Amino acid sequence: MDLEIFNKCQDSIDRDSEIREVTCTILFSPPHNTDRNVPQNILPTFAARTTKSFQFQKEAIQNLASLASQHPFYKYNALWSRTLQNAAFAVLFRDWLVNEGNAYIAYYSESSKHEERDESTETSQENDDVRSEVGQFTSLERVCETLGGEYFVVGLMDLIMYMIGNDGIAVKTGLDDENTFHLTLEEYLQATISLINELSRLALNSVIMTENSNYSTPIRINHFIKQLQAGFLMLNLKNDALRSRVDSIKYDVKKVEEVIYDLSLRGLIRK
Amino acid sequence: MSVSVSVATIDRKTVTALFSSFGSALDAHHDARDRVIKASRDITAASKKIIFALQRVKYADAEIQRDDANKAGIKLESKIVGDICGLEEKIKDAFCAVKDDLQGAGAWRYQRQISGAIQEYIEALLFREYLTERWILSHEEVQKLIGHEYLVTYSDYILGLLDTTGELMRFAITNLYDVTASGAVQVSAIAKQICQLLRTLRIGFSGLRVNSSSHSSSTEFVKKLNTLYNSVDKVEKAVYSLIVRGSELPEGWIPGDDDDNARI
Repeated sequence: MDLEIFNKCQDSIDRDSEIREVTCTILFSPPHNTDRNVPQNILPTFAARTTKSFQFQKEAIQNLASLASQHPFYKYNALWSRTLQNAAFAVLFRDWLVNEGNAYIAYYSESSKHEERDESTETSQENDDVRSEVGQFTSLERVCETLGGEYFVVGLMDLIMYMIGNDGIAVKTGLDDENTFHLTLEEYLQATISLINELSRLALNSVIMTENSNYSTPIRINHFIKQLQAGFLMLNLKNDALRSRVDSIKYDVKKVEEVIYDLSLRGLIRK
Repeated sequence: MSVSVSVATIDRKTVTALFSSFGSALDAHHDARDRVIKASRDITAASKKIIFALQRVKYADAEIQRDDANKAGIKLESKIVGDICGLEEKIKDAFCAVKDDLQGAGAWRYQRQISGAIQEYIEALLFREYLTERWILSHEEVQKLIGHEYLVTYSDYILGLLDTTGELMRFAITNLYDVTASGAVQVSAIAKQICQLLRTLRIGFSGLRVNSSSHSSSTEFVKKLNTLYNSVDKVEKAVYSLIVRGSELPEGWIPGDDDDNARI
């Protein structure tokens, strides 16, 4: 019986816990900070106010990425998965809010001209930003870009090819480099569900916080999350963490629908 | 910061295209995961069968290479060797079936799914190697036997080795005594050797510093370590009581023959 076995095991254990500790320190350092209760009237200036937080977030993630890339990706993935999910959610939410700010302004400049809005405008690309149901769903690539900047994106090309393909079809079944740091699809989808959760709150809060009777935001939220809900229904889910969160979407939809119902019952939203 | 870029108008078409690509990526992942789980079950089942076959080896009847009393290993009966070969074939096939899924990033992605099977197989390999060669395989040797295309973590190795100690305990207890030519009952060489080995392993394992909160396998480690302590106790007590009380047995007493003696 060779006791050398135990020395080698000990080395491996020590290395492992060291990496875990260092990784966790990075995760705990600069937290991202998004103001979740955004009053409507600050929406237009919102992006500028969060720039700093997002810069912090980006730097932290770059640190994490350079450390994590030295090890097999999935070995320590669980350590930062949750944090990265929240970071991705922050990006999704920020982008949605920025877009909502634009839509909000557009909506009011439009209605101040007392024009009947043409709901049947199908060519949205040409005269977008005026339609009340516009909502921004930030793509995975862009979330990654915002999260980690160039560093993140370089390693990401593979993943993007793999997930989206050129015409929306998954073309590759695996990453070439097992160490490439990236936001996983599951993390992105989880972040999307966080966005839905948060928007259902915002639907209520936008009614509460509005000073000049703007009830258009809940309508846009309603449209937006229903589209996403339809998307999630297309997925074959296992009985896992993602599944239970996808199941929660229907409660968010219901919550927003009730807001819409209340508002339309009282004639507070224009048809 | 330019924030107004790529405003994706969310309409049915975009969502459908986007989520169908997500769907196929998720499906591919789930399929791979299922294949690994299935292989894992097959490997575990076959490994368990190997271990049971080895437990059935009757040490007293087995052909022992007696040239070196301390190193003496058991030469397995050809029937058992045949059984084990068949089972190993199954294990190889199961591993082959998920070879691609466990390459690259997949090695760690599905590590949790295959880990149990690898531990069980390590247990079978270690147990057999000890019975036949009196040797505890190292992590490198195990990795070589399983194949370098599959990831064998240290954690798997440690947990597999801990499981093996349980099997060694059982083997020592079932083959506790020998009956000499003169009819005297004595502690068998294998039981003594296993007792010694378990004590050594106990020292080795109790010296490992494992950060108990860092990951899930460490709680498993602590649990199995306690089992090892119990196993060592059990074997020590059994050997002790056979040495002490065995001397009180009447001459010519053959274990298991009590009933026959009473009748005569």
